[in-house]
Amino acid sequence: MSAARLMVHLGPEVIDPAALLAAVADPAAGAVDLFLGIVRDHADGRQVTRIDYSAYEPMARRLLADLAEQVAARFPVAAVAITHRLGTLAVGEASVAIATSSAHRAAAFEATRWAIDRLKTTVPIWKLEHFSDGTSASDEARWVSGTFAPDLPV
Amino acid sequence: MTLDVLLFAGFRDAADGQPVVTVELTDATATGESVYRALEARFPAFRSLRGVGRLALNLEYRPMDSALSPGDEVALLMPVAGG
Repeated sequence: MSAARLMVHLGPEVIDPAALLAAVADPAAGAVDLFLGIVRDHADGRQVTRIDYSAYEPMARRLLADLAEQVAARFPVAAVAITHRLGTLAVGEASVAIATSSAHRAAAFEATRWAIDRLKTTVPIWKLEHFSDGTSASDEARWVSGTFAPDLPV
Repeated sequence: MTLDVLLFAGFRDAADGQPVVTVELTDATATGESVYRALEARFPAFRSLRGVGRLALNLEYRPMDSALSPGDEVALLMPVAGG
């Protein structure tokens, strides 16, 4: 198989699932897998209204590119596309997408799963969650507590 | 040695909202630890965040005791929460 095609993006643009599926399509790939992370309406018993995503952008871009390379090194994928949005997202909007393709489905499922798990503990992106107590005037915000992968240098 | 430190999320809040803080380091060998101590001296909120963050040096995670040179891009990162 030729070298996997790797595509990564970090930016404010709305995530386009159809474009991601098209981007990883390959005549040799019998399987395509797409994961979307969506802003949900609740966290820790609170009603979430929107989330502001921010990043250390130059480092985040570098780590997203590294992540795509690591996925291709670990799994027999034909293509990998990883996208993370920045800016203010409403409930129901996709914040992150991982698309992979492979000859057979096992690799695509596993590659996508591994990629999102790894992204969430390594890429320097943070989220400020806005929540409400249900009244129209209520608008508070807190940084969502994150996690570092245990293998990162301390 | 003077260094600019990029701050994000909770560390930025701890520095009164400043995205970049210039620190003066006087140790013979300046390290990430030196940077953290300089920030603690200036912004008390950093004391309660000790051990929580990670050092990024020239766009890579590096140990907190890494030696720093003038011109290095230094950032202090809170635990990440992408996705």
